Amino acid sequence: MKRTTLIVSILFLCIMIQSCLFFKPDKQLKKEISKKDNFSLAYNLFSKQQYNKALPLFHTYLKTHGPDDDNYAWALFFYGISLKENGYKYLAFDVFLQLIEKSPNAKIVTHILGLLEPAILNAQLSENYILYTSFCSKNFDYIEAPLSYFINYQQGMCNWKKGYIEWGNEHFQKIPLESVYYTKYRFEKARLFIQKNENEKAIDILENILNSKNVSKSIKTKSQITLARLYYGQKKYNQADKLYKKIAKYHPEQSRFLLERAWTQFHMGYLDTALGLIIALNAPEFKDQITPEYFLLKSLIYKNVCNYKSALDIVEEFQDQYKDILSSLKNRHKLANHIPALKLLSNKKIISDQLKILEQLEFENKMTKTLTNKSISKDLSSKYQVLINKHINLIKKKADQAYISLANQLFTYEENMRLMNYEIGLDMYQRVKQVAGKSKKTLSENHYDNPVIYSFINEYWNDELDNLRVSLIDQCQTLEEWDIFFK
Amino acid sequence: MSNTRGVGYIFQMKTINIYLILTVLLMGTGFFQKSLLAQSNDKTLKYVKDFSGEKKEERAFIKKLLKDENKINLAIKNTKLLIEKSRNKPYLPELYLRLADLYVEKSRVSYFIRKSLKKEPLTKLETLPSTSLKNQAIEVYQRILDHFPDFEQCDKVHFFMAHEFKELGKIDQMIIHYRKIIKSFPKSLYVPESYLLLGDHYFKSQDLDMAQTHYSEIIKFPDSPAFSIAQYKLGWCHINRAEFQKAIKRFEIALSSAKKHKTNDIDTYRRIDIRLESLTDIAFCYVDCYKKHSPEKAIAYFQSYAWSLGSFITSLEKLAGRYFLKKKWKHSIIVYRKLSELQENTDNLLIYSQKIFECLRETNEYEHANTDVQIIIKALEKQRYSTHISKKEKVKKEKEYEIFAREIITSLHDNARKQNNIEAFKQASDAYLVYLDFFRETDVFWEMTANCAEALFASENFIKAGQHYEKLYNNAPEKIVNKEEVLFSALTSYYHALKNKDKLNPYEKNYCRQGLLSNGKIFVDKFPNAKQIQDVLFNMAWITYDEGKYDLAIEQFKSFINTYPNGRATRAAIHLIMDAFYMKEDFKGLVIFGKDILSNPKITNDKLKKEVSTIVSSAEQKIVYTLSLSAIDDWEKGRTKILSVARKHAGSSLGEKALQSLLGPSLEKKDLLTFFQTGNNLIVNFPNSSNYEKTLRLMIQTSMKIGDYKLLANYLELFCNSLPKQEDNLLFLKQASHIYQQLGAYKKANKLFDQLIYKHENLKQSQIDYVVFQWIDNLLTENLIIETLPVLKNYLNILSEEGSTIARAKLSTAYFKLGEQKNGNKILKKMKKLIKSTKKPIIQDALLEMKFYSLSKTYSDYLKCQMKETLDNKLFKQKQKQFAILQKGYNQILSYPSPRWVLASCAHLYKVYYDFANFLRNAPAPKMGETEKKQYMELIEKQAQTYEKNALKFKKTFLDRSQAWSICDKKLIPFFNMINDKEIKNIFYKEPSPLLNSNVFEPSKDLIPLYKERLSEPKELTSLYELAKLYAEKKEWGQIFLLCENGLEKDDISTKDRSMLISIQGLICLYKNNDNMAQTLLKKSLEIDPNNVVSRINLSALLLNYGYLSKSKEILSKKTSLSTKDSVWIHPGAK
Repeated sequence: MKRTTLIVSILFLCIMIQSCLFFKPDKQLKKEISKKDNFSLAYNLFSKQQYNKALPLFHTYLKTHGPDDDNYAWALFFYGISLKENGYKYLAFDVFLQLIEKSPNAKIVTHILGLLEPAILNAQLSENYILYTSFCSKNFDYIEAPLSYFINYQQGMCNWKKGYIEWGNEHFQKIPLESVYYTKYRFEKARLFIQKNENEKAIDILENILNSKNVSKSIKTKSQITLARLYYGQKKYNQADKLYKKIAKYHPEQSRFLLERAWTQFHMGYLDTALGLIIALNAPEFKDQITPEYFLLKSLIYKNVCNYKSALDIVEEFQDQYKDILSSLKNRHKLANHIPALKLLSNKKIISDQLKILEQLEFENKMTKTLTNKSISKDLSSKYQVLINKHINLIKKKADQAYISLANQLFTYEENMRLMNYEIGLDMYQRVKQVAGKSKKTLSENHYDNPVIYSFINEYWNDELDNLRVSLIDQCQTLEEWDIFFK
Repeated sequence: MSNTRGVGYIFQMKTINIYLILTVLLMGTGFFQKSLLAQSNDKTLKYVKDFSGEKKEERAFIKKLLKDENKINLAIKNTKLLIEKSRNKPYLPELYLRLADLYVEKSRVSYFIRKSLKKEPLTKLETLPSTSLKNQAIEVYQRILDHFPDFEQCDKVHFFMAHEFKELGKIDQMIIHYRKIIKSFPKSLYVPESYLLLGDHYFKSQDLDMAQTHYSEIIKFPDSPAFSIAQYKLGWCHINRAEFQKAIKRFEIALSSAKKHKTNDIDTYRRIDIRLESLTDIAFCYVDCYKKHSPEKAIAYFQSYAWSLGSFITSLEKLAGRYFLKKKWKHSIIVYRKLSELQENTDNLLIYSQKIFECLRETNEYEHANTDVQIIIKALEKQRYSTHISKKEKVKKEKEYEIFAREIITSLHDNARKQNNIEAFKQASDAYLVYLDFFRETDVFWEMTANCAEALFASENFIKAGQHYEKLYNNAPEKIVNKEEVLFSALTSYYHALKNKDKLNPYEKNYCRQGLLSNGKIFVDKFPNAKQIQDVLFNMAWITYDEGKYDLAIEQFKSFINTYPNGRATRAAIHLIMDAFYMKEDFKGLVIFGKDILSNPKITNDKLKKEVSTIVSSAEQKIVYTLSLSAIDDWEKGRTKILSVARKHAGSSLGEKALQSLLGPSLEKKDLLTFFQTGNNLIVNFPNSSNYEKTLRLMIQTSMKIGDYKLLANYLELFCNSLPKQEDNLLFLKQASHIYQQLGAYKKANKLFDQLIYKHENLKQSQIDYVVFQWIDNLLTENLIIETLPVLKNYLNILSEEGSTIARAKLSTAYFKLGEQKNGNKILKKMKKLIKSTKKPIIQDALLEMKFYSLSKTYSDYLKCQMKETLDNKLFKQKQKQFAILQKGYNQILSYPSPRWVLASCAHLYKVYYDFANFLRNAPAPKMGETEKKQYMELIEKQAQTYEKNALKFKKTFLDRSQAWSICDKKLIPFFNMINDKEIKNIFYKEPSPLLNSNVFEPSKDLIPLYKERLSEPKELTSLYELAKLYAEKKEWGQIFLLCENGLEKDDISTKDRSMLISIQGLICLYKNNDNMAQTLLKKSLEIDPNNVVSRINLSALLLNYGYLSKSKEILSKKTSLSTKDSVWIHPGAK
């Protein structure tokens, strides 16, 4: 046996040397390419990375050939790559998904999964993109690490979402600790615990993630936000506040976190800081992100320091701000004709994400018009139209639901503000009763320490937002002009 | 030609082939050149490389085979050479084995070369080289066995030989070699493999017993990779015998063991996933094995054995297919539904949909079929938005499946109608909604929308029903829908939704309200003559009400009532208006509205009017309640407000309620003037009110509490007069008469006595007697003797025996007093015997009075009978006769123990004797001489003196008796004055207060502060004394007496206070000319508290006034000091 092996090994080395020294292009292959059919031409161009030229040729080939053709799957794959390289990203991935579903070619599927992974990881594609395809039930055992981690993570999530926790866990168990997907899985596990109302377990996981090294920024931020909300829910305001403070300044939903932190500060009793955070929301960049909750909290803060006039002003401000939209909602305006509501809804993540996709689809569709080959231009455009219709349908459904939810929310807030108005009135009356018997304190005694850090100049810098505090005078021990009416 | 080889074989092949193939491949693909390119990290090149590599593989394969063939030839040649040179070498059998392997390999390569070049199945001739090479290999193997029987790898040689025999179709030979392994090499690794391959042979030959026997042997090798395959194969043996349960058990073991032996070295099964095969084959058996298992149980079973979503789907597909095949439609449908949940592949989803539809058709049961429509739509939606399916195909499929979906929905709806069940309608409506959301452009869209609306309404999803009806009204063609009907249906839907508005969120509430309002307006405009117009108008108003816009709602409802005063919703409209007023707390508005309704002649529903009346009354109550509440905070302001309301609504029930509401608080606030004024107002102006009695009782109670007995008596009398049938009437009559009596209002008292006697059937006998005699006393006190006659006569029969006796005596007395001697004597005659026999002082007293007054006429005539200038014998005799009558009569009285009439008789006897003495002295002497005359005069004088002596004897008796008895009785004063030289003056009598005004129902303002005190501290006597003093100032003796009486009714007063109160009552009796009672009370007071200075002084003075000096002195003998506060209770005469 050993001798045989030795002989074979020597032979192998000889062949190797020969190959390196005397390599020539394969004649047979060249011969086949010389047939100059569309596939070959396209392939030739593709291999030279001339995707724009390859694209119409692949397109023609695919139109004239069926899946039974030997080259069909590869042609489709190259076509997808060409689309991608020409900027037709969504159509490219559409082709790729078709291949995942239908092609038994492990190499092609591996390449596609290799393309999908970074696209999803870099948020070029939504995580949900593949969840509603047959990807979830496919067997990808042949995919090797590290790509298999991505597969296991995604298939694990699929199983979880469909309610098959154990099967999902089996997928997650195949992900090693050092993989980025492991942290993602841990985060999702925490979310699963939250869904099951097992918050303590979720907190343990999230704290663990935040204490780990090499955690991606996005997972870290998500963990901070989730943990902060859990702490807030448990009334651990100090811990929540520390986390809110850490959340990235340039987070796309910064306004939301400013408001959440303002609530935290409010509950901690730091009304001046809470108000500072709220006022920071007046910054131009948050112009369209102010929610009814902003008015409620602001009014509540003023009310708590007996600054009733300001509190009432905020109630009025709310009414002014939402007067038109509320009036339209009350008159049952349809969403399509309701511009203010559409504006508000477009800021909702659930809608805005879809709108971005739609925008990109429109853009890519427009690009098809620039193609000189009318056949491919028409075909791609019609396919884009299908994708656009799909997203329009999706947005419409989500927007309709969101519109109802918005309407309900605004009606509820309107009622809350009315209650606030009433409570302010009640407080004013009760305070007069209480104050009447007490000696008046001097203003300085009630003034918060260090009242103004940054003066209000209608301009904000993100760095300042966290520290902005506003002068708030506790007027609970003083009588105002209007008090006379209650005496 | 298959390539089924064993473990060792494969291993050996690997050692050569891997190197060879790799080398060929690397050369063929230009690996070394491309690897340089790969360094550029260009993905495209990587793709190109993979593609070209794959393409080249095919070409390279033939190339490689040709090269391999050469190499194998070379290897065979070299091996042969080596064999030749290795005779007797220990590795010779190994070289033979290598040679055989090379023949086998050459056979395989040769076969593939031919096959690859021809690309068609080979003929027998073409396979000949390959076959001969195999035979060559067999020969070599046989040589090894023959020449080297002790070769350690003989088992392997047999195994390979068996394989080659199998390839050559020499099955018997194959069996021999496998059996040889089993028999001769029981510990060989090839034993389980041999059993397996033999088992496969028998299985193929349909020899199930043999196959099973062989497969079963493998079970003894649980660590063998063949174990799980054997289990799987055994499973199939059982299937062939229709032993499904056993088969399932085998598959289950295969499943679990296959997991353990994941790698399988047996070529035959290398590409087979035993786990998946077992799982799907379980599905094959399951349907037959567990016929009674529910599909849900089956799904759970497969889930428990599946290891991934993919395996689960695969097994369920098989299961659903088997159920379908076995016509178990209900089972099949449920599994297909589950699959539709799991599957995302469009084609598969469409297949499932079709299967489901077929099942539904077969079963004709549409329970949960709404889910099936969702499945169809899910598949179609995936298809619609797929870029890989042609438009034509999409249209075709949508058309085809639209019919499926529609048929399912229609059946669902029909079933729901038959069942008339909300849940069934809900399923139908769910299906409709999914359908309509997807099939927006079908020809039947509007018909389906109309059906959907109907199903939604029936399922009580009113909001969505309303939306669909609205859509139908706005967009559906007139030919398809009745616009009036659908618009009204929309309105009805929103109305029903709002009926359970607690279940709606703010958005839904608003949606329904606005939907009802806006569509209502359209309906009214477009279909003014619709029969439902009334309902629409009502509901529009109702919705305005529901929104809390009460003013507007009131206007709308009023307009509705005007239009439909007796409409079916009028009652509700009226109630809602009243409710709106109520919600606004506008009770005045409510009352005004309610009264308008009550006076509206167009509204003929009496029951409704009754309801309105009740509500109005309640509202009025609310008004005054509110006013009362405000009055508690600010009495003056509140009081004024209530009075203002009362004035404004004088005579109305609201006015009454306003006044009623003032009563309590005014009493609470002790605003007595307001209280009495209000109470009087109520009593006067609302005599028919249900609260009348209550009010009157409150007035009575309060008058009593404050101690104003004039008011109390008036209210009591009012109560008795106005509420004659009331339970307390008799008691109140007694109390009122008693109070009047005490207040000196005898006429009033007598009037009430009259009423009491009228109701004598309800009185006790003693009470009847008391009332009659009190009445008589009152009349006598006022000297109305003649008026006593009818009283005594009329009620004689109802009096007790004793009372009757007394009454007759009193009647007789009255007659005598009135000079009706005849009548008087008539009675007297009948009662003469009784005077002697009776022992009861009270009867005796009356009888003696009668007797005494029976002499009045004689006494009067006697005193008048005086001689004039001439002696008149007749007159003398008359006088003498009268004297005798009087003497006899009065003396008779003296024999009875009745102090009053004894003293009176003594006084009259004194007078009679004295008068006779004077009569004698003053009588003119007859005509005679002086001497005779003198003698005559002396004789007369002597006789006169005798009479005078007797007179003085009676005087003495009178004085002795009176001193002994110390009677202080105003009625005796004339007798005292008759006897005494000094006249007894009526020094104690005081002017009584002005006569009681029965129209006064308010307390005196100056007394109010004290009345308040009485109210605040009813147990405190200080205020009682203070009030008594004020009454004294006003000479309201009766009030004082009753006040003291009230004070004495308390249980916890001190002896001192008790004595004092009685003492004051005694004083009052002095003031009221009732010396007898005064004496009794003062005595009683002293008995209780001998230190009571007031009583001692007053009693002493009283006795002194009657001339009882010693007794008077005796009472005053004890040294006492009078406090200033008590000095007011000393009679001025006593001072």
